[in-house]
Amino acid sequence: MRTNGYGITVDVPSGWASSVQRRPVAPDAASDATSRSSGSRTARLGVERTMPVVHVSSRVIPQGVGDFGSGLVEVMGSEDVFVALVEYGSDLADTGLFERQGMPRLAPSQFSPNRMQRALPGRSASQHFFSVGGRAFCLYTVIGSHDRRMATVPRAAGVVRSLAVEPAAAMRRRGVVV
Amino acid sequence: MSTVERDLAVEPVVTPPPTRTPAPAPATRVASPGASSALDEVLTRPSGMVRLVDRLTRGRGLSRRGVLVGAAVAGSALVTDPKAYALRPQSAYATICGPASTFSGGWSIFCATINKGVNGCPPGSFTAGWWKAADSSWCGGGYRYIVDCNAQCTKCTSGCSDHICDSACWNCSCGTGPAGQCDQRRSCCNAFRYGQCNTQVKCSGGVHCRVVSCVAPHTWANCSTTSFRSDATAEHSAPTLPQWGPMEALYTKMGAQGSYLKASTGPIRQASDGRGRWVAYQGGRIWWTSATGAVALATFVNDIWEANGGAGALGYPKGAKQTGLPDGGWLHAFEKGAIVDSLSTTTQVVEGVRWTAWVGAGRESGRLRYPLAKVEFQPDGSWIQRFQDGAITDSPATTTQVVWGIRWTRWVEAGRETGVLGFPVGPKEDLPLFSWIQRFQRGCLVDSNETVTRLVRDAIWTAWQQVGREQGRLSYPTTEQVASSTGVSQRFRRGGIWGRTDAPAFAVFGATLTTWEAAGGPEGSYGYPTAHTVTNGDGTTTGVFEGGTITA
Repeated sequence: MRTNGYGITVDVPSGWASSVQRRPVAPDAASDATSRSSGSRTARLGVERTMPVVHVSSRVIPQGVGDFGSGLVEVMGSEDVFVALVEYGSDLADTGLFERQGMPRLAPSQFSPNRMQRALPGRSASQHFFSVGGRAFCLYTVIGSHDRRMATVPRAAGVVRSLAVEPAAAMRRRGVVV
Repeated sequence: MSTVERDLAVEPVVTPPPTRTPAPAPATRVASPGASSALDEVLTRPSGMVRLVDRLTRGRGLSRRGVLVGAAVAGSALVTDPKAYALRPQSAYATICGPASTFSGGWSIFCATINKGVNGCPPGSFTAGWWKAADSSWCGGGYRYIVDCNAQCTKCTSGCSDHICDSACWNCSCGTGPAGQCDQRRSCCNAFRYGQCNTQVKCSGGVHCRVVSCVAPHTWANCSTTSFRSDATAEHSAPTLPQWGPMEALYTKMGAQGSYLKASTGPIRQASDGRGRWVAYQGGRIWWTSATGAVALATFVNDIWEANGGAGALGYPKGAKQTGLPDGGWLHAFEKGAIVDSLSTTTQVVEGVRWTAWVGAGRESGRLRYPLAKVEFQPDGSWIQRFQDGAITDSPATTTQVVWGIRWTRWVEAGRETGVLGFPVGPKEDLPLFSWIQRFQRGCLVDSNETVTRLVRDAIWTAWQQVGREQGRLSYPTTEQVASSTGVSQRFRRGGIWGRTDAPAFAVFGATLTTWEAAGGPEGSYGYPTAHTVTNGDGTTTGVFEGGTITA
């Protein structure tokens, strides 16, 4: 099943769950006040923003799941897969950490138990930073068992291959600014 | 399973946290399930803390002080997660560190645990990304922001194809927290990066440790405003991090790490007097008492305060630093004094009775202006503190007095407290028609709208007072005291006072004065007066002298 939102399209395998969301920004008064009078030379003035986050998982995505899967990755089974495509903003695209162009292709060799945001027994993950169409992303993939990566990573890779991102310029032309 | 695209306008549902009423004072652990009713009492009615303490001490051989003192850890746990602390078997420390605080829990350690208490990236690491967790008791129920400090690839760059170099390249090694405390999470183990900060660094090591704040990192670090979220970490913390309370609330209001205080360097500490608590930061401290609330001091001011007796002498700081005072001045008030400075002076302390007197004199905008020096104590118990336009002084024989303006100038000219006048015994007294007088141990300084400031002292001062001072026959002095080989004299508007050296002096005025001076005055045949000239009923005056009487 194809799902899309915010210019991102993904094919979701049958029986899997997905979400494409952008959290509403709940203003933090202290930070907003501080950002208007920041004394740090390197600090970014301005208000906190959220960006689109795509989750695709072979398990139900629980309410309140973290952007990088906390709340879900803890309960994954050995055959489970979790894919998170997290956007960072066009202002960060195409340079530095996000210099690499194009959606990455997943391979079992990229996965390691120590690549987890939170190390969990048996779990394994990979992380990639890149830009597509002037938009900056991180692709974070978790599999339920490192030992089963030869079987599960190809399933995650199939989901990633289906990801399509509308360029920022095209979105702007149709009046959408992410 | 369904596909869900979350609507822009709908915030994902978050289960509200349990209602927590912060405990007003530390309390001991209530371990038995039967005590949950007492705990609920505390949670629902803050005044219930008193009854809780009473209940715990009754019949148990504990003093109320014993229950309360040294229970900072337990008290913090009670505030942090009271039901968990009270109802599940665990230590107060475990509650402070929050869930999943072991190495096997998989989370990264807090920098404050491994960086000598400093809630900042250790040397060699850098801010690499951040997220926030909602409803954190460590931020008063608001968002807690967590920043990953990642290691650098200082040894090699192999493995950078996915932006994290091989662990052998990192400038730190996988480990955990020091023994004896509960934050045993992972240090330099997780090869992950959140990625919003310092994006110019294309390849990094793994997470060395975490920094926390109640203020979004993009306001105080080189981080993007892009926000990620992981509420599972809301209650993660460490013993070396300050708990939420008035001090942390002030720190947050000031901008946290973006303020001059920068990062905290330890937890809340109790002052030895039992009144004060403080948190140390790289740029100063925040002090708190129940009477003064939370107040921040920059390191410079804090050092001066402590060097001048700290809480014992000045009391605790009251209110924020006042700036924008005259002459570019600033002042930091304390319970019993202040630390103050201006462009024209140096930083000085004014405390105790001097503070009271300076405030009474209008402080930096008043008669004395800014202090020039610290109080100078003398072996005889006297002291003086000098200001730009005067001084505050006292001695064992007098009371605290302010000498300012022309009075200060003349008093200094006269030798100040060791000179002819001695210490002041009263303030400047305003007299009719813009006149004034200030009295000293051995005389006075006085002025009127028709004279200039004059000094009256010793025998002449005694005599002038005897004849009614400025309201008497002589009125105000018109000259300074003059000394000759035989005695002293001083002219007044309507007469004069004369006396032999080291002998009483007497007033001479009217026609008697005219006649006496025509006969040669004190050096003439009549000599010095031996009594005050008096006015007779018929308008004549009579003066008694060494050599006879004159009635004129």
